[in-house]
Amino acid sequence: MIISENKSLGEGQKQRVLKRIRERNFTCVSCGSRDFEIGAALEVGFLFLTEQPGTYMVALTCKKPDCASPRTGIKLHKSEFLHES
Amino acid sequence: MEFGYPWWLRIEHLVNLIFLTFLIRSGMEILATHPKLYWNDNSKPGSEWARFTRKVMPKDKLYDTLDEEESYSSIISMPGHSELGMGRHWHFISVIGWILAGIIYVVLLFATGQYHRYVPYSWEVFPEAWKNIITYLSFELPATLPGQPFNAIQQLSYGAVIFILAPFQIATGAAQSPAIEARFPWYVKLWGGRQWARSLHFFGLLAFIGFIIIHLLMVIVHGFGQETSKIIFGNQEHPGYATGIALGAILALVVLHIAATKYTLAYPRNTRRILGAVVEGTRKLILHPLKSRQDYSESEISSEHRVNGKPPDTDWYKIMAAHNFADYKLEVGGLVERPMTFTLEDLRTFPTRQTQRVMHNCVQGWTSIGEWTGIPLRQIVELVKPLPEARHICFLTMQDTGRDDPSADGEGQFYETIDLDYAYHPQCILAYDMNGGPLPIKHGAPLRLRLETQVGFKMAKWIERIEFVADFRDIGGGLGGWREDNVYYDRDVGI
Ligand SMILES: [Zn+2]
Repeated sequence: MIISENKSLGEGQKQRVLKRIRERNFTCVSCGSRDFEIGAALEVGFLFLTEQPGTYMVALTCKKPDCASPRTGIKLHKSEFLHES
Repeated sequence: MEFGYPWWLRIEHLVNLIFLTFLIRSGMEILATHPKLYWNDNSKPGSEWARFTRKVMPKDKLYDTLDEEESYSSIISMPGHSELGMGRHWHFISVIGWILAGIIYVVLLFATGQYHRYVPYSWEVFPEAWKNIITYLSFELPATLPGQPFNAIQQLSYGAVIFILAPFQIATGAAQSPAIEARFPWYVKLWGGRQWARSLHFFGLLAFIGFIIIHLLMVIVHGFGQETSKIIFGNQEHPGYATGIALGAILALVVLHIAATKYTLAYPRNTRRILGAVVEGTRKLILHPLKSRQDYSESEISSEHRVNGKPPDTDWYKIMAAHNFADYKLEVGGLVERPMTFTLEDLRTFPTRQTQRVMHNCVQGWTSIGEWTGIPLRQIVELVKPLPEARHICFLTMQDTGRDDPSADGEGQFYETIDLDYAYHPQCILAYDMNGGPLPIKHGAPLRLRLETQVGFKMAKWIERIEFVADFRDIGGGLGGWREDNVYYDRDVGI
């Protein structure tokens, strides 16, 4: 199933998301892990009242097998990860 | 044939005046809530042929039609201050009274033969009416038709107002009821579409306002005392008394409007209860039983379906959406034998899928046409088996109106209730797809209600829980829905 609003990311874009995760010390709320599978990006800047234009929610899935709540996400501005190459 | 001013005709004139003035002002309130008129049923932003607002909408942010709403003064609208719910109650109570008075009037006109005064029996009346206009414009009074109380232009204008304009307003008004549109889609097409009906209804409003102004002017030109004496005493013998009574009556009418407006603004809940006692019952009787039979063609689908209401502005919702709602769960409970929980995948893989191409009617007056796919609500009802005491279905959503939609007048979790029997209506579904793709976030992803005989606000979006209840009085503010509680809308909204 593909949600048209969710943008799938290329390899370079995913690498940049991983870099931002490390920079921000982003950890899984449920288990504390820093190891994530990068999913799709949802443009939230347009749809949601308090979000700044150009903001995305990037889907992250915690890789720890026994994580109780593996699906999470990180909010990034498009300039931080979305550009090609 | 003696054409006098019988007592019933004089009473009808007064009653008509009261209802008509309330209809006009409450109609303005309804117009204010979406102050744009279209010739197309998509109501696409920018495609309006008339706009009565200066508001400009943002380009980089989702806006909804609540943001476009105007607040008009109480002088022109009833009750004013963007109180659509109250305007609707007044409009519908007035239209019920006005139609009843109109039926009695027309029956009496024909029973007594008085209708002849409004009917031209010769083509000569038309050129004669034109001559009358020229006569008026040269500040003289035209002669009446032989054996008639009126001159030609009076006969034609009164006849047109009674036998054409009034039925036209009722017919174009009815064409804006989602229940009637859903049951008789041909009827709406007869008028050129729902937005044509709305635009034509607006022209009818202008025609009534124009008629009232010219009518008053003519009464003055012909002699205020003499003319009001006819409509008050039935003859022109008491111009002095009549002048006093007529001016007093106009003053009383103004006072009645002011009092009704002030009471409405001060006690909206009471107003809703008092007027609703008549309006809600009438709607239940006439509109509730109508079942949707819509099937618009693919080419009629709106490229840009409008929205009212903004999505849940929380990180957990955004995360869930970014993961294609994999963590979404729909809870169904309350007064049921078997409470159940469904994932979106459960709902999507359910054996029964239903698709419908239908017109969406917002309470504000705009429309769009869309294709919706989902699971018929009756399937869920049959699975969870409501207990005998369950009477209504409550849809609880992920939207917190205060947080998500500042243009909405109120706070708290958005919910709506519908009568249980609506679940068995043929086009009542829980939709997860729209226009061939997954339901977009702004339209209520991952799940929304579609109940095509009702206006849009009943079709809860971003649903997270469905509860079967015996009574809605102990939910929220107790009126049967968030909009009912906060902006005093009516609950069963087939119009
Ligand atoms: Zn984890």
